[in-house]
Amino acid sequence: MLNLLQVFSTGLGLAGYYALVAVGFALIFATLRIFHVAHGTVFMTAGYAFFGLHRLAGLHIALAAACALAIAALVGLLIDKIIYGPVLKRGGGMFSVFIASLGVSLIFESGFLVWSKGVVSVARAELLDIFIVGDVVLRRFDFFILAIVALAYGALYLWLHRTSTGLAIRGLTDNSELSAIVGVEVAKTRNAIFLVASSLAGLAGVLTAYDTGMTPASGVQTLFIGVVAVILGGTRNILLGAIVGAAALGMLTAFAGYFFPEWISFSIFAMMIILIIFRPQGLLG
Amino acid sequence: MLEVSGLDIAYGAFEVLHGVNLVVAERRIVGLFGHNGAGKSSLLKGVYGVLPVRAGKVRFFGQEITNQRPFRQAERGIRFVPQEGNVFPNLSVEDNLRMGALRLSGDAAARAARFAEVYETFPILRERRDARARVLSGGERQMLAISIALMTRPRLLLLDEPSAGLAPILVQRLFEMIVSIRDRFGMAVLLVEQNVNEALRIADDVCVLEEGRFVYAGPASEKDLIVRRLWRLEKG
Repeated sequence: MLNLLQVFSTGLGLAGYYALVAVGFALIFATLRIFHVAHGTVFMTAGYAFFGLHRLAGLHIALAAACALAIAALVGLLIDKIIYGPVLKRGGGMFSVFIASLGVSLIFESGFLVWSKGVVSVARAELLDIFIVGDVVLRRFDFFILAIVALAYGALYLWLHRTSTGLAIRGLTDNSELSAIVGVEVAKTRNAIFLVASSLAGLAGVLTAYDTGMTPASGVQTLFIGVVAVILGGTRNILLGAIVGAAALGMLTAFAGYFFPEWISFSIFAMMIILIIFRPQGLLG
Repeated sequence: MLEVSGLDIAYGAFEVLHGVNLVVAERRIVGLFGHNGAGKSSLLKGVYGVLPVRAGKVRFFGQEITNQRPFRQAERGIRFVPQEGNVFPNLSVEDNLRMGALRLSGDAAARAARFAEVYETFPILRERRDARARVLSGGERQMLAISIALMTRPRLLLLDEPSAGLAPILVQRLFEMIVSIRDRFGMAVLLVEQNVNEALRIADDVCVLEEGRFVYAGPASEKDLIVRRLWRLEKG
């Protein structure tokens, strides 16, 4: 029998990961017009760092997770400082930055492949902690993810709407030239954007490494799912767009996985193309 | 208060200003005229640090401020209102003003005083403070654009063609408004305008540019001379 509720709950769990990656990508894209492919790299770096620190170095799991987050934030910031900054300074446009970002992403991918030779996973017995409601199997871990996403989004909302850095970011999204004219310190705001967005990707990376494990290809895969989520939701309203896009995509993935599992990627990208043709401003825009 | 000397500005190899001199005295409204492409907007952008200055000096109250970034100029008491894209269309009117106040030093009370001052000057903005800027009428949007700049109580306001796109009846009101905010806030205004006849009514001094060179500077009362200069330019 078709168990819609089961598919729905699986989709919701997936949506949580997508939302964390998508919102950071959206934040960077909407404010700085950078197509940050290496956002997936940051996500993956956090996962591998978490694995290395916890499994190999034997650090306590919470401490390892915190360090992995910090490493992700730093890697994101450094990619901007060392790669994008100089490219832009030499007159490179959006496309040059995109290519540079793709390069960074491929370098990290090969690096992790050499280092890990495949999948790494931090998974532990707690993941088996499930409960059954009616005929739906729920994982406690999925609730944990959704709680974390809710907390992260709440914090982001307060940051964007209650602080002057947040105001500057909303201004940059809306009219970046005027933002510089009225006195936004673009370089400083940029650092804040990269740190926050990369921490969120890092959070998703740590959770993924714990849950399903990381492969060297996870970075690019996850990034493109985040990108499609952002295209779905639009960037007019960064938070709402990312969460709506991620939820829609989570559901799509879960349903596709249930009915025709070989066609998951096809469904995601077919949906993206249809949307770009018929509603380029996103579902909400 | 503002002294520009020997200013050169170029876009790549294309020079738009060559050796321009300009002085703006306190509380004066200075009209900057010249036909399209004469380099009027570039001059404002160069002073404010939006465009890099290749040679020459910009001084504000005797201090050199050439090529400093816009947020420094804002802190120092200069504000620039561009001709286009001069509001944040998807932010509320109040958030637009908050953006304007980002460089305001001082405590919450000082901030509240600035808001009160701007809302008193333009009551319509208080009424519409929760509306997104893009739903404002042309006149309201221009008020908001200028108010964003007023939030830091600048000593010098650089206005780039504020009358562009406004209906003729509004143009006259806009110029009256510029005089009244000058009187109320006690600042100097450097005004780039195509609408020379209207602008001459409120300008104290005038500077005329021709193809990036400075061709006239003097009191606005020499109206015939100024108009003749511009007329010759238009003919030529």
